Order: sequence, then structure tokens, then C-alpha cells
Amino acid sequence: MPPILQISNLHKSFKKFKALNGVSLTVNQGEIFGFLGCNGAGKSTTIRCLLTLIKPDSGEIFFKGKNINECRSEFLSSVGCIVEKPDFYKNLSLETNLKLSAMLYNKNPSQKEIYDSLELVGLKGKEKIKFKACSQGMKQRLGIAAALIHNPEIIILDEPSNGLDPRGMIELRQLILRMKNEMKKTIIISSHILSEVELIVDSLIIIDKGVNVIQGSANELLHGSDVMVNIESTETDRLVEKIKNSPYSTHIESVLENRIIMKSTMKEVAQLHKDLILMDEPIQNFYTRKKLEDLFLKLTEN
Amino acid sequence: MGNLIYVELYKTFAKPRTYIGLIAIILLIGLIQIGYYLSKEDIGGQIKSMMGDSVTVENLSLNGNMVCYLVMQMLYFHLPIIVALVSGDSISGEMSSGTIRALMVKPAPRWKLFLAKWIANQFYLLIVVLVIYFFGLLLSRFMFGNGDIVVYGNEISILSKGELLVRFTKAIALSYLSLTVISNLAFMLSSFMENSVAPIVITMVINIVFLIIGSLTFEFFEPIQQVLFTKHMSVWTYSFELNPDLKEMNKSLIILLLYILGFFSIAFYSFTKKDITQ
Repeated sequence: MPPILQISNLHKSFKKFKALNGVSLTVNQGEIFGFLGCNGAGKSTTIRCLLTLIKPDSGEIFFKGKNINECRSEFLSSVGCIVEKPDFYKNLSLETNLKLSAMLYNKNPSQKEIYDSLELVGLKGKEKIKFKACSQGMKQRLGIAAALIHNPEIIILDEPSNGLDPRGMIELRQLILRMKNEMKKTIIISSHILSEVELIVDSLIIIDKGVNVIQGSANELLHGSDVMVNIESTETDRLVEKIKNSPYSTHIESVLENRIIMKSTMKEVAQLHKDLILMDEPIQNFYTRKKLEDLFLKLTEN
Repeated sequence: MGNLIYVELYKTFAKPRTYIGLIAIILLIGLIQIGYYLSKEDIGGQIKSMMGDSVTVENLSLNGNMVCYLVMQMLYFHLPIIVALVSGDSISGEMSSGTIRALMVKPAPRWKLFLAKWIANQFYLLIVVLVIYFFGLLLSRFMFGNGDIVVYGNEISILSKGELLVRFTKAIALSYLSLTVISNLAFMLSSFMENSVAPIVITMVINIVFLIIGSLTFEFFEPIQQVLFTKHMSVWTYSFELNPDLKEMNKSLIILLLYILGFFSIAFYSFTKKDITQ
């Protein structure tokens, strides 16, 4: 079975600025795909090319093995998305906005279906509120409801947690997992909040300056990579001495006033923790830094 | 396609600016009607001031047909603003609010989205002329009664009340065509721009500049004046001539249609080919 989505060697320039310089990626059916990169890396341009908002200079996009230029309508019927931010008609209510959105997919949902969709994203009881009166979080939720209203196979969420409070972010994460597990959707998430992405993605790509930096499954990329261990201690000097005399002597990355940063791997972390305790020095805190953040910073540092 | 048109109409009539234009027309017509109602004794003087001292008006009392004719002449210069208010916002308004992205990722081909928008605009224009027809003609007839009118065009024509309903209907249809030029100009500009004020302002500037060029008496401008749409927008007045110059009338119609086709084609190309980068 071909991948549900495949982008091959995408190029796009805006006058002299090369926004995309050969981006390629593959998204498999039923997975949550993380699309990562710094600001200006080319994420939005790639998503816009994918959604036919802009025409790439060269390169191809395939939906289930078919070039989307030949099946644009079929492809866009199978996609629900939020591009950059959810924009709706400010003078219309949430209910009406959702209804009009569904009608553009040739669907005429009943009021119950609309109310159910709003309930799914936590907007129950807010059906009649006008879009202009909504908070950013409510707008984001409406965007997700609109992305789901026509029951698409693929959901593309560009910065979906923008404007959400911590509770909203947790609910969104649960909703995304539900979309994958219960509704069997394929989900592409572009986000700057790496810790959020890390918790849910099955595979991911990092792009930088319009080119692929890395792509692979989350297991391979995150759990096989090095991690940074932060050790906070009031006796840093004595602890550093003991580490230098141990098999971990080459693992020290830097020493700060009350903190030692060490390089390790996920497999070694538990043993390292145990060995440090055996060194019998006070340790106030021991934690690994976010793995995806490390990978991201390492790959995009130039 | 039906759904797309429904959505576009819904959006158009959910905007306050749509009603601002219509209310402005109704108010203007109402003010003109009240003005004439209060000064109906002096109608002979009013007509003389419009048509010159060479015209002698006898046995001619103010009536609804006359008021409507005068209303149409007065609104002729102001309607483009009202039309541009909605057409100029049609695409650029979506660009500035960001809703264009949500619209363009829908499965309908861009040409269908464009056509739906265009049809919604034309429908609004139809409402505008129907408002003029209803409030300008029917309400005036109700207020002032039916009667003959005297019209000063290439010749002085006295038109009997029996034939006026048909003539007014023709005039309204022709003014619809004239306003379509303005509507399409604003719509075309709207397809280039990302804020909704600029297309409205530029439409009005073009209209005013064309009107000024059209009024200049230098020989050099004569060939240009012949092809300015503003010169041909008064094509509706042919409906009130007893012996209209059909050659000139057809020429005007062709020029207006060419403008409409040109503006439509450019807007179509711009809308269907443009990259949505904002």
C-alpha cells in the first residue's frame, strides 16, 4: 500500500528567496506525523504547497500514490486543516461558521451533527456565540471542529496549541490521540511546542532552511539519541571530582555553579542515576532535558 | 455550485456594509421624495432649472414617474460608491481576514469559488437596482401618483404615463449593466489586494478621473473620451428617448460589455492563479 502522502523534492522560491530547496517527506496512513522546524524553515510553505494554496516551482506531491494535480478535489475532500490560524467569519456564530464550512465540502450537516462536532472540541453551549467574541482557545477549537466536520482521512494542524491554556493543551493532546486511535485519522502536526509533539508523534521530520534535516520514526530518532542529564547539587566540585574518577569521566559536557550537565543515552540513564547516588554526594535534582528539544537544537544549530 | 453560491450570499448578507449601502440608497431616495413633496408647487421652476429657460412646461404636475426619473439622475453619480463598497471587499476582505486560506483549501476548483463570488456580487447589484425600482418608482408613484413626464435628451420628449413602466424597467436593466462595470472593476481590484479599503478607494478614484477626463473639452482627449466607461454609463437614458440613436446606444452597450468582460477576465486569472502566501 502506498503511503497516504508523499512529497518529493519540493522547491519553491519567492523572488530571490528560496523557501523550499528539495523538501521530501512520507506520511503513512494512521500515524501522527510531526512537522518541525524553526521559523522560516519552510514548514508553512510546504503545507501551503500541499494544500494547493501555492504552486511549487518543482517537485511532486502524491496522495495514495496519485499526483495531487490529477486528484486535487479528491485529495482536498480527504483533508481537514487549520492553516496557520483558524480564521472564520467574525460576524457569524460558531454554529453558522461550522455549517458554512461543511457546505463547502458539499455536506449539509444537521444541527445535531454540528452540535456534536462542537461538543467534541469542548464548545458545547457556545454554539450561538459570534466568532469575533471568542477567545483564541475557542477559535482554535472551532478550527479543529471545522477540520473534522466532513470526516476527512487526513488532518493537518498547523500550530494547533496556539492560544490554548495548559488544560486546553492536554485536552487537545487527548483529542489528537482520539482522532488517531478511535477515528483512525492520519494527523500531521506542525508545531513549535516540541514537548507537545514529542508526546504524541509516531514519526517526524525536521526541516531547516527549506531542506530536510532528518526524518524517521519517533522511536528511532528520540529514544536512540543521546540525552542531556542535568544534575543539581550543592557540592558540585566534589561530585565532579568523583565523576572524573569514574567510567563517566568523558560524559561531562559542562559544569555550572550548582549544576553539572552530562551526556548519556536513554539506556544508560538509569545506571548513571544509580552510580551517582553511590558516590554519596548530595543531589537535589536529576533530570533529562527534553529529548526532542536536544535533537532539534543539535540539528538546526547552524 | 449551489452550495458555494449559498455560502457566498450568506456571507455577503451577513456583513453590515451590505446594508449600509442599501440603507443609504433608501435614505437618499426618501430625502429626494420628501424634498419634492414639500416643494411640489414649484415643480415648473425645478424642471426649468434642470432643463433651461427654453423649455416651457404647461399643465405638467409633479408625479411619481417624474420623481423617479429625477432620482435616477441624482443617484447616477453616487451609486458606484455603494456598489464598490461590497464588490471591493469581496476577495480582499477574505485576504485581510485570513478566511481566504480556509476557502481555498476546499475541494471546489478555484474557478467555481470565483464564479460563486461573482454571482453573489451580481445578486447584490440586482438588489440595489431593485431597491431603486421599488423605492424610486413604485413608492414615488404611490406617493405622487402616475403621470406624464417631459425628458430633455437629444430632443425634448413628452412621454405618456401608459408607456412609462416599460421604459423605466428598460432603464433599470440598462443601469444594472452600467453598474456591473463598476462592480467588476471593484471586484477585479479586490482580487489583487490584501485590504478591503484600497479597492473601494481606487474604484472611486478611477471613476472620478474618468468623469473629469470625460468633461474636458480639449480636442486631444476626444478619442479617449469615446472609450471611457463613464461616458457610456448613462446608456439608460436612451430608454426615455422617443427616437433613440440605436447606433450610439449599441456602441455604448458594446463598450460597457467589453469593460465587463475585461475586468472579469483579469479578476478570474488573478484569482485562479494567485499564490495564497499571506
